[in-house]
Amino acid sequence: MAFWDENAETLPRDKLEELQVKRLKDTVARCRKTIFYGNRLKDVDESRFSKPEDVALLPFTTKNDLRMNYDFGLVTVPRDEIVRMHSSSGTTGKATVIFHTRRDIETWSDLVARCIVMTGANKADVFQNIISYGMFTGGLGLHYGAEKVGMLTIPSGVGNTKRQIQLMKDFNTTVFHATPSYILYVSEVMVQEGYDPKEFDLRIGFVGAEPHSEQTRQRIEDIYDIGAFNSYGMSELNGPGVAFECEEKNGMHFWEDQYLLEVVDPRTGEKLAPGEEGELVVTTLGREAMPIIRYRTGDLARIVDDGDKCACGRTHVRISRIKGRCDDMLIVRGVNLYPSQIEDVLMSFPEVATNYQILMEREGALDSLTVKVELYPKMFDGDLRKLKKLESDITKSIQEEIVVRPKVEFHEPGSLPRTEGKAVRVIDTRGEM
Amino acid sequence: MVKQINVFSEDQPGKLDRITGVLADANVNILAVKISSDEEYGVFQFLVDDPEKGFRAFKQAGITVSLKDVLTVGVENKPGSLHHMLDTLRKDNIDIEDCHGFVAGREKKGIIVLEVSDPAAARRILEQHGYSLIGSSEL
Ligand SMILES: [Zn+2]
Repeated sequence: MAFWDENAETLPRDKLEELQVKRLKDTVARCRKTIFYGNRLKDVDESRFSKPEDVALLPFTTKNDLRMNYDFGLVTVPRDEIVRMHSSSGTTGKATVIFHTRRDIETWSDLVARCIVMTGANKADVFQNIISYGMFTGGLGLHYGAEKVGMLTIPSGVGNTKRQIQLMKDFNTTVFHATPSYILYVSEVMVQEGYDPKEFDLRIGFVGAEPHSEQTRQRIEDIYDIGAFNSYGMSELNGPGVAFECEEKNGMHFWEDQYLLEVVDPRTGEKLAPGEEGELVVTTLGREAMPIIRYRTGDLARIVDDGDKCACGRTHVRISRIKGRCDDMLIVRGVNLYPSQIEDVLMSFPEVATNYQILMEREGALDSLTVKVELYPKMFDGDLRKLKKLESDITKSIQEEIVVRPKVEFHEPGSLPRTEGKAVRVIDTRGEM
Repeated sequence: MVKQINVFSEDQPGKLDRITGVLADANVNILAVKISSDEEYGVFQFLVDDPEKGFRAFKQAGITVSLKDVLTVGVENKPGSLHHMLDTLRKDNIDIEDCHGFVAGREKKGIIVLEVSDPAAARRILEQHGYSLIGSSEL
């Protein structure tokens, strides 16, 4: 079992919590240097903090707070100490920007290196980083971590799929990083080009930037004959490297020495009981340039294991897959549901391809839910009755999962729109009246 | 065994055109076609002179296609002949999954295209009962 930083990764719980309290105090003190936090933390006496849970005495920070403090409002270091800026992928309103000192970049890269080594990858691997570079943190985040580990790192970015395949072939890529939708698309192109996705040297995939289901992971693993590992992060918390799966693949270890995690009810902000699903709220514990207190991530998950030592030996808590974003939640005919629930069902049917779309419309007074799926060409045997049966099976399974009865539509492979970055899967026209 | 090309298609204007266009461009001759569909999608079944070539052409055009073994059985062009033939198979527990027919040749012979649960057994039974199975070269 390999570790990048064995001491930090296996720190006994009491020592880990002690460290969290100390770093939390430092973070609060540092935040006071900004006008925003200076005002907000006026009545807080962090010297009395004795346990990590005391973080709940602090106010939340929202995405909107970050926007309001555009551009340097939350920076706690002199301007010339800053070496990097990233921006979140938010498409609405003002962008949010995050700044890093040289030490921040080092810390972040170390966390990513922990993640990489935790999956069994090492410096002998050839790593193809098939994800957007630029302001998006997925590219450079993994890139720096991979170089730190010592892997041959190919910054191939996203797109130009045939060239991606050529690179994999020519340089014997063994590890990739990609979004689930794009890496599945790459496998389709491989087949079109006459390759078997299993014939490459790939052995490990880092899959992230989009919430995805266990079924999707299994599909990626089967198609490529690799181990696929789930990755969690967001630009506000540096980017990738916040939590990652170990070889046990039973939840993602959340690096608690650098991030203080809470799970709260997204409506009330109240702390939830251990194991309950809610919104992740995170406080950075080591960031210099731009520390953030109790950030409302908008991501929904639950703690899988609270301090029990994982078989891998790491003591940091594990979180479940991200079920979706609080704002991804769809309400159809009064029922709350998440796209990931529908994806789970679809991916359990081998007859359907990996691309799908969820369409919500208003028909009179009623919401209608249509799930468009592409057929998987290899499974088509030309029998209309089998298609009808498949349609009703999928409809039934989705209804069992989400209560609402959807209309399932089959489409030709490749006919549903797809994007090379994050896939746009949900279309809601109900507001457009 | 004769092979039939089955093609999946969304039910949209121009789709049939696109599909028949593929066969025309590949210079594949259609002997018989059956279209089964509902409002949203359908399946086209083509009996053609060169199924392998047609199949490849569809694949290259990115169309969802499969090649299926079928039986092509000659029947007399008179009342009751189809019923008799299907009855023969039913008695031996052969499931008919799909069936369509056309009339061919100067003698106006009926040709029935059958998809069945067990093609090999169906073939044996039909031959035992004196039906003539038409090979791909004769079509
Ligand atoms: Zn573990």
